[in-house]
Amino acid sequence: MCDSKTNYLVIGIGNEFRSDDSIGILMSRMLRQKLPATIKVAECNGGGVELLEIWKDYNSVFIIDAASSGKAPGTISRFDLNKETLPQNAFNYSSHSFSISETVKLARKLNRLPTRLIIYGIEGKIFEQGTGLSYNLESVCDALLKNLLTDIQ
Amino acid sequence: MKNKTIKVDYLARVEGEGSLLVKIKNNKVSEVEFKIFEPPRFFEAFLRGRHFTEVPDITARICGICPVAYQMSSIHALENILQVKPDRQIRELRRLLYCGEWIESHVLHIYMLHAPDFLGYEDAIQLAGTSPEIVNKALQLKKAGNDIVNLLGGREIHPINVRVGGFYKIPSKQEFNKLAEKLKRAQDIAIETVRLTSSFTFPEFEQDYEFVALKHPEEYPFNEGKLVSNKGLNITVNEYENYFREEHVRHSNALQSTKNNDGIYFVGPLARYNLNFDKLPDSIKELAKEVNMLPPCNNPFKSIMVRAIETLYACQEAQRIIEQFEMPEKPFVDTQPREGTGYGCTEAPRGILYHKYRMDANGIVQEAKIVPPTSQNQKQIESDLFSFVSKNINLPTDELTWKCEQTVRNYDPCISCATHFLKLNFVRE
Repeated sequence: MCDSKTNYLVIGIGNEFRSDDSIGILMSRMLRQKLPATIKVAECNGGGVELLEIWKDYNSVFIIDAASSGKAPGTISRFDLNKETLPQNAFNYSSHSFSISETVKLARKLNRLPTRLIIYGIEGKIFEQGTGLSYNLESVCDALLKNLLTDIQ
Repeated sequence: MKNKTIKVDYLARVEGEGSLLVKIKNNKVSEVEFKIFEPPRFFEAFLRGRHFTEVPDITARICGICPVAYQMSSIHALENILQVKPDRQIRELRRLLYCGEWIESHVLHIYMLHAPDFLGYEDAIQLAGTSPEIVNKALQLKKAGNDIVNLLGGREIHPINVRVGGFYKIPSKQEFNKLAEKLKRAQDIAIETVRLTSSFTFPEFEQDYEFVALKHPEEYPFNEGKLVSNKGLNITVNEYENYFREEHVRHSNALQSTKNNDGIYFVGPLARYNLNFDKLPDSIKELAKEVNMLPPCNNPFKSIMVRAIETLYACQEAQRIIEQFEMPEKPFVDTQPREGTGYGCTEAPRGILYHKYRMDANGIVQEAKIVPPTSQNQKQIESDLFSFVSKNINLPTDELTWKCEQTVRNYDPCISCATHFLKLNFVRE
């Protein structure tokens, strides 16, 4: 499946103490057990410009983050950043650190986007303080894994 | 137009959630409110009942940008109760960790939050579009700070290697040396940053400020010193509450501080710089002279230059500490619980950060008080806005709004840190 010239990185983003915002982190931990060992998996608590450092040695990067666009909780949206831009308001916006969409814009200006960047947004419902998700992680994980493996092939 | 309202519902490029309201009536400023509506966070309440050894890991969570400051002020206050004094090398490593935080925090603010104001850009993304080489260098410089905190703190954000009495583990000399290599390049970028910020055009604006900062007899302050001001204040940290008090105002979830009940004062890089310039190395003093930034400086818009100079200092100081470092016998001194009250104050990137703890004989925290720099600057920010708008009342509203936001950003407010407490009154009928 993975060709030898490509190195793959999966990054889970989120805050594990903000309910459904933790999905990216929890998912990356689950995927680490299920994905081939050649695919690296990283976690990122803050997002922002740190992502540029995390992905700098990889040419095929998959980001998993919580999304909030009004769809049913657990719905997976896929964005190929080499072909499209992110919807402005779907991902967590912060006034003090760079959001994913801002980071992608910055990386594009700095010519520091990976050759291939795909973002999976997983719809959340509750973003209050607390641990645990408002929906079943396992069911989303299987669907996401299927998507990821298709992308990697 | 004689009456108008300047309203910014969500301040951009500041840390946390705040807004701004300026009312103008009959061509005079009638009301200014720097509103902090980020929810209160109750850290002081949930420190109560925790063992003192847990405190630095809890306070580090107050801020993702300046966690080291919260760890440092808390461990100094607790060591004040425990009557322990870590040896010189531990003290040096604490300064090193603080250097890392200053670099990270200052560079973030200079390039990502504040520079766009001076260059006429909406944000750093626009800046990256026209000058990618500047933003790439900024990220490289910030990375040097991250690397220090990562190595010595155990991770880049919310470090986990700090404990009362010292550190859990000290990295090897070899690991420190690798860091020193990166710091050499960082210093070059920091010098370029000083020169770049000195080329900006600054609004003509000065006030008669009372600057308050730590002052140490031998060094530019991070962890220790007396609290001094340019208007005669000269007190020890444990006298802080005799001179400063906090009050709750209706429009802010963060308490506001005053000196001697009604005095507004200014903390942060500009205060530190004006009061401690003599402690900077000669090479930095020379550079400051070259870029026409000798103290005293009463123009808060020039704080961006001071942050650049302090970033350079932090890079040089970090390198000095690494070069002179000798591994201590033990990474920490032993501590035993002791009943009492202790005080600590250190220089967070945004200014003095005061902590007080009362502990029982079993080492359980009974009371905690934390006064962040942004709480202390709130009234000063409102005072600046009042004066700035009064002097520039005829500017077009769009431009005036932009300048008002810039006035707030001069202080690099950390709103999340400041919203730590809200007094709640229950009325039962």
